Amino acid sequence: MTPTYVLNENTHAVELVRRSDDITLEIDGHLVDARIHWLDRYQCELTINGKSREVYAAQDDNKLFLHLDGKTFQLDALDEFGAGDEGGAGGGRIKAPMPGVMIESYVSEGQQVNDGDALMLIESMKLQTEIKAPISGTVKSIGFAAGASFDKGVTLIDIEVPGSE
Amino acid sequence: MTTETLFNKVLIANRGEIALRVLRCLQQLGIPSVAIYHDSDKNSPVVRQADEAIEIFGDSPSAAHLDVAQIIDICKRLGVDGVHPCYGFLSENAGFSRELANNGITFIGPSAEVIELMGDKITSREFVEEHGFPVPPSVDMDADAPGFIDAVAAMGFPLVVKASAGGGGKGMSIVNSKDELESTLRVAASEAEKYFGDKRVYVERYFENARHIEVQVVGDGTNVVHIGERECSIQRRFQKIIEEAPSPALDAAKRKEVCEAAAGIAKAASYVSAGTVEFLYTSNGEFFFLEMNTRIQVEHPVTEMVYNVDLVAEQVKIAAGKPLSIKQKDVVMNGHAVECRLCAEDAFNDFMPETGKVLFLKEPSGEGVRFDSGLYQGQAITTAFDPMLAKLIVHAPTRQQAIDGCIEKLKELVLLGVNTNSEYLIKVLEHAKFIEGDIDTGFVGTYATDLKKDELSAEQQRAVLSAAMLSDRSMRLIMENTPDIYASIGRWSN
Repeated sequence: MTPTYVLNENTHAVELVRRSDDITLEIDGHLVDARIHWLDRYQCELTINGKSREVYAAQDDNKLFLHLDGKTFQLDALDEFGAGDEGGAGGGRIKAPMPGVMIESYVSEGQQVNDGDALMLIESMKLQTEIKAPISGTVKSIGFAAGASFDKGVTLIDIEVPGSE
Repeated sequence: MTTETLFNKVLIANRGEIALRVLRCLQQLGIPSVAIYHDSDKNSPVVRQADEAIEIFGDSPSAAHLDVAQIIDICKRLGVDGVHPCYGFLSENAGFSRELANNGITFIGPSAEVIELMGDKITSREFVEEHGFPVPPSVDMDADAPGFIDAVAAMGFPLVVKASAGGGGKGMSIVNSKDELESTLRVAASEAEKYFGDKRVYVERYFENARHIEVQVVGDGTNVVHIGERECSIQRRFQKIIEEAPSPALDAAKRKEVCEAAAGIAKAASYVSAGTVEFLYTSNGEFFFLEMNTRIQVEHPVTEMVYNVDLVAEQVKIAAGKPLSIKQKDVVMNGHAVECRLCAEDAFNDFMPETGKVLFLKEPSGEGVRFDSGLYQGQAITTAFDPMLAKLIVHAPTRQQAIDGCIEKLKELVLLGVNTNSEYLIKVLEHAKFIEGDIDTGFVGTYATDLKKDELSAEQQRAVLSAAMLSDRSMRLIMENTPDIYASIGRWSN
């Protein structure tokens, strides 16, 4: 197993090569000397190639949160099978840009819509956004009923474009 | 500290950082306190620290906090004789204020009449205009009325559509062309009806290079004092993210003019309690009344630090019938304060809200540093509430020192488990135009290309990835359970 992390949308492999007093890691094919000293559960001193930093780290499932150099970083740890994307967005599939709640759908399944038509009103953190059709076609499915909440990245509406199957 | 009783018991009708802020004040004044909370906030500091804490129920956490009957019932049951509404929720709800009064309970804020007058953007504009203070050009007629679109388009673009009953940036949008007008009005009316139960909107000329400058006032019904201005031009989605006092745009003469206009408006309304008069301040020094907020503002701490006043304590004392304890001549500016609003959002991706859980928190501290927060370890950050998590305020002798202090303290702040706008705030604070004080409400859009996330250096990226791997729970487990002598794991071999 090679631990793999996603940072700023890029995937990086970090492999433990050797461990004695110092740890040697291979990051994307590059060897790095590291030393880590935990001060408590969250705080450690990390020395990379001789340079020391104060690091705070916490983890929620496969999400890793780090604070160093005055900034916070979020990484996703990929498991062995590499979950990856759940299939790209199709031509007329609109994914939720943020977690939220469906307020109202202006259209119904089977309805013809034109590029730019207002399709639905969603709300997140008290901010309402109108979702517009990116393409002309037929509404194949609407992901959520009014009042239902959804997570980031789920399909809100699927528009079938004639002859695109 | 006097020993006289201001209130027998005060209920804090809010949550988060401001509920805790008000609790601190009640504790200092020796007033017994009641916190109310929805189940999702049951572990929050205010619930633990208030003298009494009562659960409230509703279809959503917000619905629970807006349930007037339920809150009044709790007041009656517990012998509460004062309610502090803070900001948001019921803070500008005249009906709530009246209902409390009907039950012999004091609303810690202005009178219901003043809330109504100032809470409606149309009537408040008319009131201010009648008293001889400047208001921006606008059209206010029913959006369904024939000729509305034409009347509005005739004003010229850009325009801003506002919910008449709105506030806090909710129900506001900018329209650049006639084509956008219809859809914008639809969303604005829907938001207006949902949040404020009133779908009237009005349309105003939008000044692109104007500043948002507001003045803190406090009145006791007889006297009104102004406690300087706050510059709140750094906004995204019409919501402030960085505020400061004083404004770098005003000299002493202009400050006097703006502050006296604000006090004049408050005085005309026989204003009681703390309030804020918001102005649009154009690049040629003209200013127009925008609205008056009849409550404590999110950004009140910058005023408190620069003028050494406690605005919440003043609200409580005035509500208890005491006269203003602040005299205009004693209002003296000292140094500069900057506030940054820490929000759960991906600021580098169009400020999209972020959710998560507070896994670890280390608050910044130091001289002149105030961190107003209701955060706690284990707290779930959901979309149920506003994305603001906490406020960092730094007070220093000069503006630049206050800015530098904010940058330093934002870097010192550690919040793991939810993405925040901390790095974005630092980019704004470091921006040359911000440092010059050359800002307007379009700042975030104008300098969008400068306000980008820094690229990581190769060295920094390795540090981050090393830290990730070495702190990864599964790796830590392996390493802790593997004695060094057998530690040549992985693919190492001699």
